[in-house]
This record gives sequence, structure tokens and C-alpha cells, in this order.
Amino acid sequence: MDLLPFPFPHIFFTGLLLALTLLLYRVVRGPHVLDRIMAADSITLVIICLMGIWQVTVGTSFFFDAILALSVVGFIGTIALAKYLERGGLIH
Amino acid sequence: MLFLLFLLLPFAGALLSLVLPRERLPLSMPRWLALGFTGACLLLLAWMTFGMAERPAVFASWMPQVGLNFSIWLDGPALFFAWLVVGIAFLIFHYSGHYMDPNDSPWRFYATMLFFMGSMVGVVVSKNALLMFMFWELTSISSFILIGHWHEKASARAGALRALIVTASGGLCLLAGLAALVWMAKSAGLDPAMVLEWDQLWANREVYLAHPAAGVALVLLLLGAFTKSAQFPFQFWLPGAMEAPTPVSAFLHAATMVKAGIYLLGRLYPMYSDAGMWLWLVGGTGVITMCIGGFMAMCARDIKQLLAHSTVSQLGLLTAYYGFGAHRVGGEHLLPLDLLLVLSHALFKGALFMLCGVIDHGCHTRDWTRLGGLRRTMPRTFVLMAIGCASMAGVPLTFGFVAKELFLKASLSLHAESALLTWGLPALAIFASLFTVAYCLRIVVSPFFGAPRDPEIHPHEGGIGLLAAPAIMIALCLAAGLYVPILEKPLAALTNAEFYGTHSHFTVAFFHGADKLLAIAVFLFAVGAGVFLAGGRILKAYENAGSPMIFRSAYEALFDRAIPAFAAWLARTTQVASLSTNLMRTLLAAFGLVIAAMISSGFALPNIDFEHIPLVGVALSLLMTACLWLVATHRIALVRLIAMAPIGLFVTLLFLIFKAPDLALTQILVEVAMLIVLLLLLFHLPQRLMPPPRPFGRFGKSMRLILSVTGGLLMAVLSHAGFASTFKNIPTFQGEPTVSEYYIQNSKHARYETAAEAEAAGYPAFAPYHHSGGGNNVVNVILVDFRGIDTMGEVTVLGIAGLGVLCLFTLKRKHVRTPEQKAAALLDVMRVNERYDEGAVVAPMPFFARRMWPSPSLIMSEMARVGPPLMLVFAVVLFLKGHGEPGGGFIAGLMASAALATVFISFRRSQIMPMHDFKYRSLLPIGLVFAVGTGLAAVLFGQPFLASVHGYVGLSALGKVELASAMVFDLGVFLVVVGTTLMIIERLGRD
Repeated sequence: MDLLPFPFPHIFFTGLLLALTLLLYRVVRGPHVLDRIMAADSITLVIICLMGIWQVTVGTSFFFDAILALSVVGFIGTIALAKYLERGGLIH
Repeated sequence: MLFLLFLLLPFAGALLSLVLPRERLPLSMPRWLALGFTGACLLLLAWMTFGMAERPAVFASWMPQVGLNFSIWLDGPALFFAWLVVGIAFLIFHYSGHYMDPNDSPWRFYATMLFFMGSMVGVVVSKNALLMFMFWELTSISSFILIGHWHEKASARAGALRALIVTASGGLCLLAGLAALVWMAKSAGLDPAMVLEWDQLWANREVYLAHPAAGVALVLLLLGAFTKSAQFPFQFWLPGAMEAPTPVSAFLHAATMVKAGIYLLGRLYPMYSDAGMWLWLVGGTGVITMCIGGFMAMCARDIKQLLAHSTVSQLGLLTAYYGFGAHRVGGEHLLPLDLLLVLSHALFKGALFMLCGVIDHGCHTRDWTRLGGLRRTMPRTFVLMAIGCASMAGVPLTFGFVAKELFLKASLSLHAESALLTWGLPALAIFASLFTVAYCLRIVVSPFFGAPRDPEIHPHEGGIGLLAAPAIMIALCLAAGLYVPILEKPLAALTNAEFYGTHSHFTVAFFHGADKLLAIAVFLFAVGAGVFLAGGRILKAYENAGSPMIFRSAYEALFDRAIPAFAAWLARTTQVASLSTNLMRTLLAAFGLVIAAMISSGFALPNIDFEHIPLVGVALSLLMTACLWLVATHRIALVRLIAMAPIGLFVTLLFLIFKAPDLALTQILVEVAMLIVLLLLLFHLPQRLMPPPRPFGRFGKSMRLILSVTGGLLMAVLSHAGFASTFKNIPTFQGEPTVSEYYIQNSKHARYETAAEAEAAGYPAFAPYHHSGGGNNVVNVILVDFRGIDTMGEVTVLGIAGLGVLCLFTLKRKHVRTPEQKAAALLDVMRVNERYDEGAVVAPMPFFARRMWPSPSLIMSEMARVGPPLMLVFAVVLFLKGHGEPGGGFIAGLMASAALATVFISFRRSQIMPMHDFKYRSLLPIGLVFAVGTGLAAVLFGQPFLASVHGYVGLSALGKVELASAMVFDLGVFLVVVGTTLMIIERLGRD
């Protein structure tokens, strides 16, 4: 609890949630498919940040595996979508 | 041990034929393999018969509660039939090498033949009736495969299916009959463990005869025997089975498998010969079958069909012989030398079928109306055929004569309570024997004498290879007929004199002098010849009547019309061509059932602690709803997929907040795998989705909404109830707080180390549960230990689902798209890319959309060299720490799949050819072997299936690693997950 003194968690969370809302707006409204893909990819990043800050705030370490896994595989979906749009298929 | 080896050798040979690399071995290899294994079996059998001081037997208790034991023996009939099966198998394998086309899938053929031989040997050497039933079903299955050997032919498929349905239904009746026997024994106070051993069945026969349901059990058991041996009214399947290659017909459907029913009658005879029903049920059925078979044989044009009908008739004779065994003068039981009749029939009928194959080989037809004068062109076949038919008709000096004489004697000395049976059954039997003489003349005279009828047929004699096996059998027929007194003693020694009676009344010899029997024989031959002369008219009349197959039309009406029509009606009324409608109906029914069950069991809503619901959960759920709306409504499929990504992330976050890191990890990885698979599939589908059909009219949308919300709430309530429920309904767990508490407390260390400790603490129920999982990660311990069998079932289902995907895509060959269709699909995807959707301005994209890059991006391909190996390392770490911390086989498997899928996406096919060529499906059986092996290993140490053992092993570099036997199980899970995921991805990406 003492790792992050009083105002910081609140500032971080507010900022990240704001980012999340804006990105979600992009995902929902588009207008282009690529906008949505990039917004979804950014949401992954924001979620990773959220998990990290949550972990520090609560003072635990068991989010760690999820953060690692998400950062390792989170990009695969994005490149798969990109390749699909570019080539009309994943495996060539 | 030798005995067990003898039983297992044919199966080992079949297995070997299936796993050997057949591309690299010569085509003659499977036959030599089959001959070798059969020869080894013959040697073993000879050693067991002549070399051993006492007959071997093996006994192991299996499921004593239902009377099942693995007990095999070699008593008289078992020994006789084992010799018959293995000996004829050897001759047949020799014959089929010359008969079958060497390119005609020899591996499958000989493997199935060996498999059949093993099953048939199993039937006859089983001492336990239930064990015999298992082998019995195996013979039905191998017969099905063998009849359908030429499965391109519709008639072969139909014949195989008909044979399977009839014999397998009979098998089920047999099973029901055996169950009834166990039930009777239990109600008579007998210990069920041993009651189904044959000798026990005989010893306790009063129990089964005195029971009020004795007749039901007898009929059920007899149905098993009658279907297998093609007795009336099931005789129609045997002629249909003649679609099989001739060696199969000679082996299964003449010499051995159809004798299984006769064998069963022999086993039942000591039990039931006192029953009043026995005579008219068995004897009557046999005699009727004799008549039908004999008549139908006169109506066949195809010699093979003729032989099939004659087999039906002869099987009727054997059945009738067992029926006549009881009820003689003075109530004396006599069933002498029944095995002699079986042997005689097997010898001449097996040989005749093979000779029929020789005719087919030499003339390319088996239609006797087109054949003639073969006596000159196929002299050797003619001589052999003539002797075989003489034996079948019972001409003196042949083995068949002795058998026929025994049968006639038995029928003439019949003495039943009712005069109708006493006189009627022998009269019918003699009437049927007229046909025997007639169709034997037909086989010998019509094709071999006279002038050639069809100039297009150019017959040639079969080679020595084709004729050797039938010649040996015919020679045996002759020798046995001439030296029958020598054969008499050993055959009599094989029958059980205690139950069958002595045979002193019946001396066998090849000629007895002028007596009543001789008069009957002369009558039979004279009138039989007359029937033969009238044969042309019988055939014509039969064909004018539309060639009815007796009782086959009843079968066809049921299985070919009524049942398919019912199935089609059921499918039409319950299934429509819309997935969403079907799903809606299914869900509606499922939810309705669950709600009904909840109401009827007095389910009370658990107290939900609304105060402690975290606000962040609510907030995340609301954010999810925004994306969900997009997933449900957007017209472009790809956009729906994209919108699912944030939902997965929010769910992950929820799992973490509620302290479930395992679930979070699984969620992250499943999302990735799912996105890749869906993208691979999406390319095969239209990019824009049609508006969904409305199954419930105007209210469709609201119905869907209501259904979804109800389903979600229902699942939430149920899972909440599950977590919070106590063991109050399960008496053994009385006193435990909740289900989840139990798992938490017992996953690492058992609360009570010994059973005594548990009892001392007042929890006797825990006595059997003092084993612990040895892991800190409760989720993983539940998966691999507490609920290990569930997990095993789940990974099996996963593997099967993956194989299903594979099959669907492999079968849909016509789905492979032409280049034009592919280009059109690509254009479709490009259009999604190019346009701002839904009314927005269409503008050219500034960057990569317009360009088709010649190679994958440099950054991408360089990254793909570093990323996946790291992910694989992470997968290993997740796997190893799985038992104590978040991770485990399932998660590690998904991580490894994600790593390899990245490689698939990032490189071109030509760059990573070995990865595409690898057969991922081969990982499935290996994984399952690991999973099942762990469970069985525990059984070997006397623990329950899948019981876990654990200990610590120091791995110097990684520190101390806890090794539980569950880890091996987890490795199995890992392999199945990797195999299935990559198998699907690789297959979908191949198009």
C-alpha cells in the first residue's frame, strides 16, 4: 500500500480509464477497420499498464504471469489481423 | 503363459500388419506374416494338445460383481474348435495368396483376417460366458469389415451392414440372456463371481431351469446363437454376406464364424436339454431352416449363392441335431459325436467355397445357367468338386455319409411327448434332405457336364496354388470317411460324456448293412434326383414370383425403410437449416430442463452478498457491453472479430481482480488461438454477414435477448450455488464446510495423514481421502488430481474434436477453391480493407493497404526468429511451476501453440516446410497414452486410478522443483492441446 502514496494511484487509474474509454470509442465507431485494429491493440497495452499499477497498489505479485503472457502473445492477434487484411489469409 | 500367447498371437499379428511401414515392404509381406503367425499358433496348439501333461487354463478375476472373469481353458470342444479355426485359417491364407489380387489392400485384408481368427479362437477358448460374448462381438465386427472388403460396391456395403445389424442385435440378446442368468443366480443366493463359468453354469443348471423366467433367458441366449448361425428367421443375412471375397466366405461364412452359434448351442445343451422348450425351439428352428435353405439353394443361379443357401440348410441340420439330442426313449440324453458333424461340414463346405472361387477365377462367372462342359477344361476342379458334393449329399465312403447317418439316426430315435413333434420333425428333416441331394447334383452336373452354353466364356483350370488348399480338405474328407472308426475315439473323448451321454448305441462305420437307414438313403437319392430334374421349373417359378428372399423383405422394411424414414422425420421436425434457430431450440430445452429440475428439487436462491460486489467489476462489465453490442450487430465479420479482443481482455482483468490468475492466463491464450482459427475460417466465408433469420417471427430479437439474459443469470446462479454449496446431501462428506473449502484444504497437504487419524478426528468419511494433491495451486490440483478423470475425458474430447475438424476438411474435397474463386474471395477481403465502412467517405488508404508486398515484412520476420523461442521457454516455465503456481499443462500447451502459430504466420510455407509437414495429429495418441498411463501406473501400485504421488527433486540450476506424478498426466494434457491446436491451424491454413 505504501509503494504508491495517495494521489498517484488515483491519477494513474483515472488517466488509464480515460484512455480506455477513448480507445473503446475508436473500436466501436471505427470508421476504418484499421482504426479498430489499432485501437484494440492499444487497449492491450492499457490493460497491461492497469494490471501493473493494480499490482503495485495492492502489493501483490500474482498478476505477473498474466502481464508477461499478455505482453508476449498480445501482439500476435494484431499481426494476424494485419496479415489477413493484407493478404486475405494467414498462412502462405 | 503359452496359452495366453496362443490367444494373443493373432491380435499381435494384426496389430503388426497395421503399424509396419507398408510403403517400403513388398505386397506379399502381409500374407507371409499371416501365414507365419498362424503357423506359430498351430505349433503352440500342437504343443498344448500333445506335449503338455495337463490342459492349460488361465484365470484372472476381472469384474466379479457381474460374473466377468478372464478365464480361458482348453476343454474338449474348445480344443476341437481351436484346431478347426487355426487349421482352416492356415489353408485359407495359403489359398487367398493365389486368389486375391496382390494389389487389393492386402495389409488391411490379412490384418482383419488375423483379427477375426484371434476373436474366433477367443470365443471358443473362453471359459467365462461373458468373456466369450466380448470375443463374439469382435467376430461380428471383423465379419462386417471383411464382407465390406470391396466397399466401393453398394451391394457389399449393404450386405456387410445387414450381417452386422442382425448378428450384433443377436449379440445384444445374448448379453441380455447372460445378464438374466447372473440375476437368477443372485436371486438364488449364489455368489455372482463365478456363476458364468461354463462348468458352474452346468453344475447349477437346476437354478436356471427352476426359475420362473427360465424361458425368457433361454430364448434370449438362443437368439444370440440363431442370428450368428443364420437360423430361421434370420437366415437371410448369410447369402447377403457372399459379397465378401471368396476366402472370407469360405473361412467366416462356411467353416468357422457361423459355427459360433452351433458352438454356443453345444455349450448350452448341458444346461437346457432338460427344458421342455429345447426340442421344439432348437430342433424346430433347425428343421425349418434346413427346408428354407434347401429350397432357396434350388432357386439360385449363382453357385456361390447356392452354396450360401446350402450352408444355411446345413447349419439348420447341425442346430436340429442339438435339438434332437434330448427327449429319447426313456428320457435318456444322447448327443454323440456332435463334433463329427461340425468337422464334416467345415471340411467339405470350406473346400466347396474355395472351388467355387476357382470356377470364378477360370470362367469369370459363377452363374451355372451360363456354364457347361467344364469337366473337360477343368478336370481337377471337377473331381474335387464332385467328391465335396458327394460328401455334402452323404454318399457312402465319404465323411459326409457318416455325419448324415448320425443325423438320420438321431432324428429317427426322437421321442417327444407330442406325436406331432416325434413324427413331424424327422419328416421335415428328410424332406429337406431331398433338396440337399438335388442341389449337390446341380453343382456337379450343371456346370461340368453337357456342352458349353456360353461361347464367350473361355474357362481355364486353376493353378496348383489355388487347388492345393481345397484338395487337402477334400482329401481329409475322404480319409475321414474311410477311417472313421479311428476318428471316433478321439472325437468322443472330446465331448463331455457326463452331459452328452455315452454313444454306445451309435457305432459309426461307413457301411452298416441293409437296414431302415439304407432304405431312407436310397429313397433320398432317388427322389432327390427327381427334384434335381425338376430344378429348372422350380427356378423359373421362383423367378416368376419376383425372387422373394424369405424374411429379408421384413428386415428391409424395418431397417431400410421404416427406421430411415423415422430418422428423416425426426431430423425434419427438430432440425432446420439454420444454426441460430437450432441453437435457440437446444438452449431453450436445456434451460427449461435445468429450471424444471431446480424447481422440483426445491432449489433456494443462495444469499448473494450485494454489498461486497466490487464496483470495478460492474464498471468492466459495462465497458464490455459496448463491445458486445458491436459483436452482435456489425455487418462485417472481421469487425466483429476485432471487437471480441477487448472483451477477452476485460474478462482477463475480471479474473485477476477476483484472484484467479490461472483463468486469466488461460483466457489470454485462448483468445489468441481463437482469433487465429477464426481468421483462418473467415477467409472461407462471406465477409459481410446476412441479417440472421427470424425463427420466432417478430419477437425473434426480444426472444434472443431474453434467452441470453436468462442463460447468463442461470449459469451465474448455478456456479455461485456450486461454490457455496455444502456437502449436506452427500452423507460421506457430512461436516465439511463447502466444496471450495474442501479443495483448498486438501490440495497441498492432507488434513489427515492416515485413515486412523481421520477416524480419530471424527471424520470416518475422510478415511479414503487422506491422499493429498501436493500442490499449492488449487485450480491445477483440481484439474489433474481431484477431477483428473474429468480432465482425461476432456482432453480426449478435445482430441476427437480436432480430428473431426480434420476429417471435415479432408472429406470436403470439392470445397477446394479454384484460382478464380480464390481471387474473388481475396477481392472481398480487400474491399473490407479499402472502404471506410457504413456510409463514410471512400478514400484511398495512405499506406500498406494498396500494396501487395513481395515478401513478409523484414521487421516481422526478424522478430519471428526471436519471439517464438522465448515464448517456448515461457511455456516450459509455465508447465514446470504449474502444480504450485499459475500454469500447468493446458496453459503451457496453449502458449507453445501460440508460439508455433506465430511462426506459421510470419514465414512463408517454403521457408518452414518441416513445420508444415509434421503430423501434429500424432501428438494426440502420445498425449493420451501419457495421461492414461499415469492413471494405470497408480493402479499397478495398488492405488485407485489416477491417484497421485509426489516428491521433491532438486534441479540444480532451477532450484527445487516439486515433481508429482500428476505432472506426467499434465504432460499428456500439454501434448494433446499442442497437437489439436496446431493440427487445426495447419489444416485450415493449407487451402
